[in-house]
Amino acid sequence: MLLHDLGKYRGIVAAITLFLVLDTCVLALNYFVSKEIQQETESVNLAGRQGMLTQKLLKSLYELQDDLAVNLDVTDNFQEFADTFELFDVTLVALKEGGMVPVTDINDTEQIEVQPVNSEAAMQSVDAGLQLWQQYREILGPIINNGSEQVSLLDIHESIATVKETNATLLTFMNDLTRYMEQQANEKTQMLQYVELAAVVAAILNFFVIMFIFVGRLKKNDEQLELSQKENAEILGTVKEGLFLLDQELIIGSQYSQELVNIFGRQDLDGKKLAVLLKDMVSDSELQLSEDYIGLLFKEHVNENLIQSLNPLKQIEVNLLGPTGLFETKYLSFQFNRVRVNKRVSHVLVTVMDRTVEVELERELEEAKTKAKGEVDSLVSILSIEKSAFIDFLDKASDGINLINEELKSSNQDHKAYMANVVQFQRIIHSIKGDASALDVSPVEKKTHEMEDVLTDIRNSDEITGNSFLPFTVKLDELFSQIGSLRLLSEQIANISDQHSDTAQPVTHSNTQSFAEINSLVKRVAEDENKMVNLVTQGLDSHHVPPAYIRKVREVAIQLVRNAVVHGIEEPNKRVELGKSPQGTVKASFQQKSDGNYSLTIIDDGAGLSVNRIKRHALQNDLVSEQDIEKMSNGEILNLIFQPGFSTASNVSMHAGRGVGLDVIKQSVMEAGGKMKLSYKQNKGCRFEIVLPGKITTTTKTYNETDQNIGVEQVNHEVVNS
Amino acid sequence: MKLLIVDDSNIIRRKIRRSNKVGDLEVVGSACNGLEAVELVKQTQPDLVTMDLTMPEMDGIESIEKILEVKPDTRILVVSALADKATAIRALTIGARGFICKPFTEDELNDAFEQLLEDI
Amino acid sequence: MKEEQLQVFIEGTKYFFSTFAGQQVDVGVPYLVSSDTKVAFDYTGIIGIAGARKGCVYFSAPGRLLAKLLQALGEDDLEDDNLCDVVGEVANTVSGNARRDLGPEFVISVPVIVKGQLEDIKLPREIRSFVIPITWGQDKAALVICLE
Repeated sequence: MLLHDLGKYRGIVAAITLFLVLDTCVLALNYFVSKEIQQETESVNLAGRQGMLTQKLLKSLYELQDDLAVNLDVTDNFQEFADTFELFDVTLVALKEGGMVPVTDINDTEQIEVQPVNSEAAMQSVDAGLQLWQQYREILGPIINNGSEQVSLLDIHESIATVKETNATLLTFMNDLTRYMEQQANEKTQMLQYVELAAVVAAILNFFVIMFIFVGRLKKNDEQLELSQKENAEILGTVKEGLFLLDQELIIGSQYSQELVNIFGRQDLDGKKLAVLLKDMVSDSELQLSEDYIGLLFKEHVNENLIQSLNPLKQIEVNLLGPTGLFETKYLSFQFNRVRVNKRVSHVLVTVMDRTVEVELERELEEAKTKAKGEVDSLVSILSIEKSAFIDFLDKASDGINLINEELKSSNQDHKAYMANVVQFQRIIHSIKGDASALDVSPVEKKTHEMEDVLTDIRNSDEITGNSFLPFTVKLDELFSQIGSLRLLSEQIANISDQHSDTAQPVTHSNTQSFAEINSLVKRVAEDENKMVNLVTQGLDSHHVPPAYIRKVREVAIQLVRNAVVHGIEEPNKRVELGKSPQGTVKASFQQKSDGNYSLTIIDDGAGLSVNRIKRHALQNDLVSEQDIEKMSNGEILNLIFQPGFSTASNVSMHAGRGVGLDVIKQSVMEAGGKMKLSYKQNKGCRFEIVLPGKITTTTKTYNETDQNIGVEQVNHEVVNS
Repeated sequence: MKLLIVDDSNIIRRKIRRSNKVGDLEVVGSACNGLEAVELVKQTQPDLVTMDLTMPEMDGIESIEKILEVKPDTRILVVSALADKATAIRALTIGARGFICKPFTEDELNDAFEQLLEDI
Repeated sequence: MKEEQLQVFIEGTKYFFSTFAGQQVDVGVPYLVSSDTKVAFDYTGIIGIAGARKGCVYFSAPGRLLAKLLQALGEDDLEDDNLCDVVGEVANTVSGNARRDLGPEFVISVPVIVKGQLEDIKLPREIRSFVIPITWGQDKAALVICLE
């Protein structure tokens, strides 16, 4: 293991290593020096023995002399003398040059190795000793060589004389040598003691270094660890996401954020399998899919981007037991990320976000929308409708839907043609809505209202493409279905009534009934608008209206009467303020004039028209530019209300304010070759007169498919601003 | 390196063949269903296989399993019109290495090829 | 049928042409046809739908448009087989891609290719099909979605 791999432990490992090396060195030194001291001690002993040997040599010479004097056998004493000489000689040479020396006596086979003396003083002593010993060798050497038989008393006398004379000096040399050698050995022992002391001191220092520096450092590390753990805990406690780690076995790690606990309402997640967390929240197949998905994250070869795009838990709806003991619906978003350690995926970091608030807001918006679109209304109301009128309505609606569908099919791909389509569809849908409203068929009324919304959106979009019509086509399909089921229902009702009546009544169009619907329309619209209105009709029946005009007159009368109620008649309070009766009056009358032409007149005693308001709305809806409107006469400004897209109602309600209305009427009147007259007086009321030619020349179609120039031609109406 | 193309549409097979711009990747065969694919893997021992999922005879999922039994180190790239997550996860779980949706661009295909062949 | 779901098919068709052929198609005004009316050009690729929704999705186009599509795909062989193949592939891809939003419960069949009129195709009576006209240059085709 290399030192730099150890990270923060590098220092302490170095200190311990140093300690061990130091110890080993001291031990080794101790071993070698001790061995040396031992050797030197032996040498000291040998040197000491040399002193003793000088005395022993002299003593053996005296004994030899005594033996020779009384003619005793000298063999033993001679041998001792020779051995002593030999031992001294060998030892002295060994002390000078190094060599093996017998331990006890010269015949001992056990020998010790002797190092030459190395101190200056000892060497001088050895050399001096050797020099003196040389005389011994010269005198005693030949005697020993001649052997015990040849020895003579005279020889020994001479030897004793010489030895006696020098023996003291030789002893001094040998004692000096011993002393010097002892001194040297003592010095080494002392040195060893110093070294050992130094080693102990170093070890103690090392210990303190470890204690104070490294323990301090470790403590600091621990503090940092503690701090980072604290920070971790703080982070995990405050992050807005549920965070946790998953290992390869899909087991949840020990640390997770507080938010996770809040989201799932449970604490015991540590060490649990993910399946435990997700169980009861997702279906078994979704759980399997999720586990497979997380499995992919551990597969190194599967691309991370690809995996991210496949997350099956990106947004899930779950029901969790809340603190109140009730189930709460939450919308959770899971995010999974690979956690790599040493380039291998070790864990998956899971981030859980509670998206409930966002999703619920979206939901609420969506619900508000669908509520508006809801078809909760019962169809019971149609039971009260006169059957022929209802069939008539269904036929007309079907015609309209089919016509629209044909138009969709054959539409040309350019903006202008699309715009014309929108205008045409608005007219048709508005008319169906009018009829549905008059008959109180509320599902159809709502559906067509939605369709008008869609058409307005298309019209207001910057660029109309074929695809812009998709929401409209979808609604058309729904309207198709509605009309279909209404027809089915009406047939079933017819069957029931057929079974209960003996005489089947022929189906007749009762026009009186058709016009009578205007009454209930006024009543309903007035209620919705919080107004009080009295409708007076005259001549609106099949006796007065020629059959060819019935549909048109009905259509126009419904629109104008509704306009009168919505735009003309003021709210009761306002009327009282103006000194009028709280109840407004709308008169609708049809008659043939003296010139043979027919006249439909709708008069109300409401607010009349306001040029300023018309101006304002025309500007707001971009019907004219500001410069143009300054140059326009009052008559021209009034003319604007006949343009497609004009509305004077401040809020778009079910009953008005769509910008279709007067232009539809105008269109319808023009189709029949008629004229329109309009007069009003501020706060007094408004009067519309439609004049239809007495001689009916055109067969009136339900819808005119060809004319797309609405709003372009000038309308024949007079403005009487009296 | 060797590429085997599996798709029931001849047009797509040829499109993949033409789109391949990876230098040393050579098309060694093409199959029009899963069964044929397994046989061709045995014969040609390809490194890389592009695999459609919706096919007659044997579908892609079954074919992937069979191919990996025959040659476990085959790198399989699913090229399918099925764009839902569950299908992709299923394919990857049983051992496919990549997943791209039809219609694909030439770059998408070649990027996927290169990514799958990265460590060969 | 929801608008968003129809939009999935429309986007799928546009994406097929823009990605595979490198060219944009124009989507016309969608309209309705009853189940006994079939919108058919020379070749039609039909995908049967089972599972959560039932019905079919088909793409119908004249031979000329399909030949042009083949060329845009880089294909030189404009024989009948390939025209059939490519019309099926459009239907298959558009339906398969729809699973991104409709999920794996939207089960799709392998394409069935019909040449000429679609007389033998039976559709549920009570539902109308949505026809999405597709225009590519001078040629017109249609994507038809008929789902319960």
